[in-house]
Amino acid sequence: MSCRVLVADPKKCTGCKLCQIACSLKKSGVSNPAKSRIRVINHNNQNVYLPVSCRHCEDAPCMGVCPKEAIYRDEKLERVMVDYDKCISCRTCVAACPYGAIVFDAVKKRVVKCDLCDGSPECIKFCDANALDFVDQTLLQYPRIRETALKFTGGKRRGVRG
Amino acid sequence: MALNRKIAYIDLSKKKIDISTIPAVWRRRFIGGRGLDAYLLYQHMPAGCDPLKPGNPMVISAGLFGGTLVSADTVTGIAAKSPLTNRMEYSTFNGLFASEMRWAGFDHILIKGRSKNPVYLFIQNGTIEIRDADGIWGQNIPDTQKSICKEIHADDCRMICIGPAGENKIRYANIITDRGDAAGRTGMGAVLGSKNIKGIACTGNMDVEIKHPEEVLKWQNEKFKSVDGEGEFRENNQEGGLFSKESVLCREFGMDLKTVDAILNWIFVLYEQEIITDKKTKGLRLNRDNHGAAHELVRQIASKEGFGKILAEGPLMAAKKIGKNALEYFGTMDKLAEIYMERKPEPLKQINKPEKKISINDLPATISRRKAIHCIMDNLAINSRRLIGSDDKNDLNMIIRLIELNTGMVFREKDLIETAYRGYAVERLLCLREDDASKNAPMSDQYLSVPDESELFNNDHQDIDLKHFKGLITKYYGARHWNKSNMVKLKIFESLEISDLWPHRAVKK
Repeated sequence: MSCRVLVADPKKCTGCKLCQIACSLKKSGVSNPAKSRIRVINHNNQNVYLPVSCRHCEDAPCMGVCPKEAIYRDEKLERVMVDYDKCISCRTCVAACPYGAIVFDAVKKRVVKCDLCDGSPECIKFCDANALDFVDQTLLQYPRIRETALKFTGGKRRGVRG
Repeated sequence: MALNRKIAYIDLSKKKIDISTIPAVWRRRFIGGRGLDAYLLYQHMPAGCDPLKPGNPMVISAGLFGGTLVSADTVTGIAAKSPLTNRMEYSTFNGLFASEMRWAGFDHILIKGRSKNPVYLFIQNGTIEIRDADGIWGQNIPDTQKSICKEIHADDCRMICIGPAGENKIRYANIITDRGDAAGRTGMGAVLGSKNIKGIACTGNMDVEIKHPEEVLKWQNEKFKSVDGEGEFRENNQEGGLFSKESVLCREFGMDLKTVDAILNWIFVLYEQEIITDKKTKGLRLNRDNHGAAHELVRQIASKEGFGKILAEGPLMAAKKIGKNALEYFGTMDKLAEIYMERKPEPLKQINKPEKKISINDLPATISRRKAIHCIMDNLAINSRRLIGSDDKNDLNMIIRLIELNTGMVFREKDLIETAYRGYAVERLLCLREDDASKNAPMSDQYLSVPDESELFNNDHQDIDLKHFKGLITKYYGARHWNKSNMVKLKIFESLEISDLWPHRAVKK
């Protein structure tokens, strides 16, 4: 069975932070972007916003570095999860993640990361700009294919004049 | 508790900051936003103060919904006595400053006094620092933003700041936030400049508590689905007019583009008509083919040099100094009203709207009702355009539900409308105290005689003359519980439970 992944398009993101608010509300019950599993980074106060969340890598570095083997792969949803019974909050995974997608919650004293809301991510429901999407991983490349293909045709479909 | 929120009183002269909790009774009475701003100003503003003197307090407010799931539609409000109109004014801008302010721990900030040297405020997680801005003073908007970001070591912070125009107290200087949204009209930048504040930066990662998080997510999600199509994104307040090249310059200097655009057009016409000459402009040739002229004039206004010094006082004052009926050439009254009023005179805009036509005689009641909803929106500090429709009942129910889910406050429809009237009554009282002229709201015949856009493109538009209009105004004031001389009645203050604010209380009783 093919699984779906959360993808973010920085070109569409307006930086409204609604995804962060929705995530923190769902997971912590309060509105606080610092407690969100997804982050929108505003680069140098420019008009550029970069949404970042866990990629659930096939060969996940966090899984590799965990000394207690607390990070495991949930086969059903193809997601990377933390087993808090084993986790010792050493923060090694925070350092290992190339995306910086694992967050340390200073209040609860433990690492937190995106768990795809058990297959129905709350953040994408609030993305008004459609910058976030939850798509089948075999179809990931299609927006790019479509974009490039349209360049060849000048944005026109065959048989359409004007 | 969801409403355990803070207000900071900053006295720049004494370098003192008091932080206290916003009383629950204020929330019940005014909700927050504009209503509470007016109440705070009424208490802290000395009667008849000069807008550009230290006595004039400024309130920066986040509404009830900053940092919630409605935050994309929220605005930040700035209220003070305006140097342009000499009345209490409320100017708003979009963006996330209000949300960040709430995440940093504050709902309202009241700034009093004047700092001896230039400073900027840094708000972070429940603390406010007054920091030295000697090195930043004089910089334009983009440089200021970069400099402050560098000093506070933050890549991602929300900020408001003023440019050289605000520093020089140009009466239509604006306050600009991150991407160029601005609290444009009514010269709030000049008030901030008069306090020697260059900007306010804000970062926070404190919790904003939501009363019913699960229900909010569910309810908002359904609301989201029902909105058709894509929303408006990255909408820019600073639309370019005739002098679009100068808009970039205005943004850098921190001046209201609409006002500058109107003034430039006006001055060029005056020059063509030879009402102003080279002698008056100190040698600046204002021909349309002189491409550098507009650019130079904008620079002169922002730095209060030469001819710009006259224009920096606003079109009404400038017209007095130029003389020779200069104001007649300003174009339509609409344009002048746009600069001097925060909203266009609504009655006239409403009657000829093609999509929803109202009979002229129904106007007072209709507008009074709509006005109450707009007031509630201002008290909540949300952008009314996207959230409310044309069905009053529906809109009010939606607002009541939103307030309940997010804060736990339960309002009845009647209570909610009362908060609107209450805020408006305080504002009106403040207006009357500060500016006698507004007792007889001036309405020029010229406004009614010059056709506006809707008349030109609308065949069955309803004509209206000044006498008829004045009759409607009286009716409108009646619908809003005002008496003939436009004063709010003491009886109303008593029924709204704010009779303690009534200025002539001792005399009347």
